[in-house]
Amino acid sequence: MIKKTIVYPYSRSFAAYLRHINCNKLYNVTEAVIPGRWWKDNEDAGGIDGGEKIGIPIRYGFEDCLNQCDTVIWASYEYYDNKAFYDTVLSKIEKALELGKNIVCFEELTKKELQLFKEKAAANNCLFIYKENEKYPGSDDGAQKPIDVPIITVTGLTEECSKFDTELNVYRALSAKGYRVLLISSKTNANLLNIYSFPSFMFSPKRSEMGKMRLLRSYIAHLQQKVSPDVIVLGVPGGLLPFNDQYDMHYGIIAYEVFSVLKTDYNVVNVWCDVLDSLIIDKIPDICRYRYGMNVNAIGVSNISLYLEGLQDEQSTLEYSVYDSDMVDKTIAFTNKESNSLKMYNLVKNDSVDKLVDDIIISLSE
Amino acid sequence: MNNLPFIKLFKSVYGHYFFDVNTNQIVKISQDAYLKLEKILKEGSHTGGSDLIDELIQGDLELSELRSEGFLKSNRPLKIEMKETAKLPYFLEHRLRTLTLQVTQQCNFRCRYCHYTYGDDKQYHSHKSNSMSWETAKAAIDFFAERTRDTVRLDVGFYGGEPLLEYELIKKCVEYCKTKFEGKKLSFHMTTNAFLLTVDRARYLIENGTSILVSIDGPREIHDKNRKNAGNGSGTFDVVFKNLEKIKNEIPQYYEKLSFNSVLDPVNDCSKVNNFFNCDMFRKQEVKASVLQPSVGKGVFYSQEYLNTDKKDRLLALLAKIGVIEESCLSVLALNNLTAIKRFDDDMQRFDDISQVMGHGGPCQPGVFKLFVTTNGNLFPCEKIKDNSEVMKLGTVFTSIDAEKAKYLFNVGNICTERCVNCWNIRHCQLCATKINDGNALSAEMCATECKKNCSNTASRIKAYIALREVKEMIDKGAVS
Repeated sequence: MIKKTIVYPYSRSFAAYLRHINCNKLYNVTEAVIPGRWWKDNEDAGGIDGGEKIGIPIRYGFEDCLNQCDTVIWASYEYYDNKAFYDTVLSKIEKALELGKNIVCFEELTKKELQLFKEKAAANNCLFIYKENEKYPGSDDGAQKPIDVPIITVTGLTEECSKFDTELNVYRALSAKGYRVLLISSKTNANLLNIYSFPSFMFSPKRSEMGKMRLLRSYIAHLQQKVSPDVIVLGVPGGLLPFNDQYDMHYGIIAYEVFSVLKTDYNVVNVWCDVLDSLIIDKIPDICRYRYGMNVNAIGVSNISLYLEGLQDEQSTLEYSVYDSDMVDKTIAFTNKESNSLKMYNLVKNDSVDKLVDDIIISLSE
Repeated sequence: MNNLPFIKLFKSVYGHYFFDVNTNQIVKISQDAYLKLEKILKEGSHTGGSDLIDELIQGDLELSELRSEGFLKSNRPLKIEMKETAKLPYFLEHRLRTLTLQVTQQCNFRCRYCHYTYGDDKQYHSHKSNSMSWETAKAAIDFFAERTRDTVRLDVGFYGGEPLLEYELIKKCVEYCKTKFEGKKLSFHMTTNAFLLTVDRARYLIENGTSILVSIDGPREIHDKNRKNAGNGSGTFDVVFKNLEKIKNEIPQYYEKLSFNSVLDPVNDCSKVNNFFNCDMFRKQEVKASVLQPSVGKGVFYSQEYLNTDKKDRLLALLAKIGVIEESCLSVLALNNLTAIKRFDDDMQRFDDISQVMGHGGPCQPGVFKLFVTTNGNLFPCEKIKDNSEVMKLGTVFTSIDAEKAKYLFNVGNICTERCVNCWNIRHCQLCATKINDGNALSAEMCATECKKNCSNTASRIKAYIALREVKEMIDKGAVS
């Protein structure tokens, strides 16, 4: 039984996880510990991604918080090639294990690191919980099995445009309305949240692209058989378009493979707030139709946007801006004025997400 | 409504051109087309244009073809407002990037060209004995930190006077920032005269990610002419050079990370500066050069030797740009010219149209890219400002940033909206509030002077760009070798 859990190192990239964890009372999280002291102590952890409040305070000082907990959620963090900081985190996790704290690891580790931490945990009689790859026998005769429930896909025109939040929100809202929902998240560590993860074999360099596609089809059919859902919500990793030659967003390869084997019944395309003008919004349906063979039913406007000024020098790291909900509303209002009839939803506003879900239900009922 | 083509005409010995404001392109035309456009602009300027202009353009094969290619549009902005104005409050709240602490107003030098030395300029403060307390420095870092939620790469700078007079305070700030910003990409920067830059200090600062820019003007006879010791008025070159030699000998791997800045006094022969920076001490280092900026209302004397070398360096830079000579052959000053040419090249990307709402090219977002904190904790957009200038003051580290003031300074173009919407230089204008601050307010009169200066600078760049293109064409045709 987990008594008290802290999250470390907390940042924007973990806020959606934390919201879900808290909503579903998965681990008794009491504090979200940020590295350094650059954000307000005791502020609600939801403030970090401009979304709804979470009800968990942000704290400084890992060591102090460590003494008060029995479990540490090791949050995934964007390290931006900051090896010194990564080493600091590793040493702090090691220290936690030495003190007998359990670790739930959302960070992507190398095999060597994983082995080391598992051994350390065993030596200190504590748990080291890491994501598990799907236990799927690996039949690639998927074409033979029918997928006969509606599929809602959540895609992103680019990366970092709140797909994960949208998947969780749509899942939550549909479940609340009494539907049995199979959520296959775009994240590969979602099994730590009791959610099915996007299958790791899709990223394996050892499989052929054809093999991956057949296996994906088969995997989803298999989960459908296992869960018997009314509807499937599938988060598609990566973006649909490269941003430029340097930031290629994986050229939309995963989306291409997904939509080559699955027919989506309702597709939400998430976009960054404010970088995209009405001209680009109007082109999205054609991009989706001719590149991926799918329709666009809704545009989800994220409160995240690429920080363009940050791209001005050669050593640029992609940086993002996180706006408030009002800015998203303004973007939608402005784009709506000049754009075609695509429905646009504010992804950081609960009532707007509810409207998206209503539209999904109406559309799938027709 | 003005329906004159939004262009600026240029001609050289070899051709006729116009700069098309909407597309941001320089277009070559025939002499005939040039004369027609000149007439249209001249006659139309009295009336703001008329339907006849369209007829004149459509009636000329060359001009009508250019129009069909998207050039010669008359679109002008309807409103002057910087694109990011609405986002400025967000940037100030969550995305500050650079904090510069004025750790002291004291300086151990009294440079003859330094605005601070005499304090008689409307724009700058004078050297005083004020230094920043640790409490103020800490408050400034805390203030900055609370506004960096979304910033990944941030930078903290130390400025003076001479910052190394407050080395212990700087060390304390560095250590505090390392704790405060753990998990982000943190760097530091400092400009110093290097009089107090010991090996240990250089090692500590560089190990902690500090970019150090050392001010050294050139060989002894040039450096010492202006850069005098505050105590006895003697030259400072020998001490500075000795310090640099020690660092180079004892910690060469750190010395490589130093960069240098030379202020060129045009009274001197700058070929001597070129020769100086071509020695072993500096050949592999980054060296920047900037021409001495006179105080407002004062002039600068240009010696013939300076003008000759400058002309030669500009030409060499142009030749390097088109690949006629290797960049490695360029002197320090020619390299600086080349950097400026390349920057202008980057600025010449093509657009479809000018926006209906836009601002001029120049200003940075006040407080966002740079937040300058004076010794007593006042906030300013940058260090080039008199520290009692209320109009430029953005707040204090003990209170908050005034986002409305930042918007006002950001939209400095509003001082001259009417001129701005019709100005061919709107995309490239470098007008900045610091340049038109008369001490009490932003001055329309100073703005008019500054606008002229900006137009003239851009015109010079465009002429150089045209010359470059013509030389390249001739080389490609084999007309010159």
